[in-house]
Amino acid sequence: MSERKPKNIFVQGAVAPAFIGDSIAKHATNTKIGGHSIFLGQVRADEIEGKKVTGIEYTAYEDMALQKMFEIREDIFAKYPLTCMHVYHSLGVVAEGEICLFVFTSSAHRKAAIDACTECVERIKAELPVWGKEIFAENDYQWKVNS
Amino acid sequence: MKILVFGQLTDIIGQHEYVMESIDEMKVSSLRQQLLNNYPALLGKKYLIAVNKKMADDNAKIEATDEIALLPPFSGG
Repeated sequence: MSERKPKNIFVQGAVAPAFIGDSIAKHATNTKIGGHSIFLGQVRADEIEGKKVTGIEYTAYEDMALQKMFEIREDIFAKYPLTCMHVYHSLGVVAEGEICLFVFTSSAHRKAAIDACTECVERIKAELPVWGKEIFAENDYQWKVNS
Repeated sequence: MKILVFGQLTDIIGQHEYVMESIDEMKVSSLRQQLLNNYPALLGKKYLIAVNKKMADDNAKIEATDEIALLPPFSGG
């Protein structure tokens, strides 16, 4: 197995559906894979006190986030027999309905991919120094709180 | 020391990055106190402090050359 190093997970703006499709297609050559699990985070048009969220602007402490993501990746590879794992998180403004997080795990059998994907998403939300600012139509905003 | 400010704390401090005059070494707890003196609106705000990209507890020591980051609760994803 090749040595794993911290890699960039951040993309400017939304994650394009075509990029997600291409990512899936690229795995066709790896015929040891028997299952993929994919999580897609989408910006929800919440209504808060009568104001509608039109998008989320993401900022991050990028260096620290990439280091933390590297640790999460190492932990997950140590725990589950994965073939591969890919993570992409948006920075900047992502409009309602667009994709802001893409987590993609693959393994020979489904359970490892599914469990690893879930654990990865939970840890990203809890541990990565990333902040979302919910932007309202009225030129106003509030800072997002993760539940 | 260089101080990086993130999330909702940027609304209070008014900038993403600034340099704070510091006398030699101090503890994270005294930095918190000093920040509160400078920005009273920080009162009651929850945030973690990272020193050189590692989470630091209140007893950790900070030197003038360290990179400090003020991290309110994360809300990625």
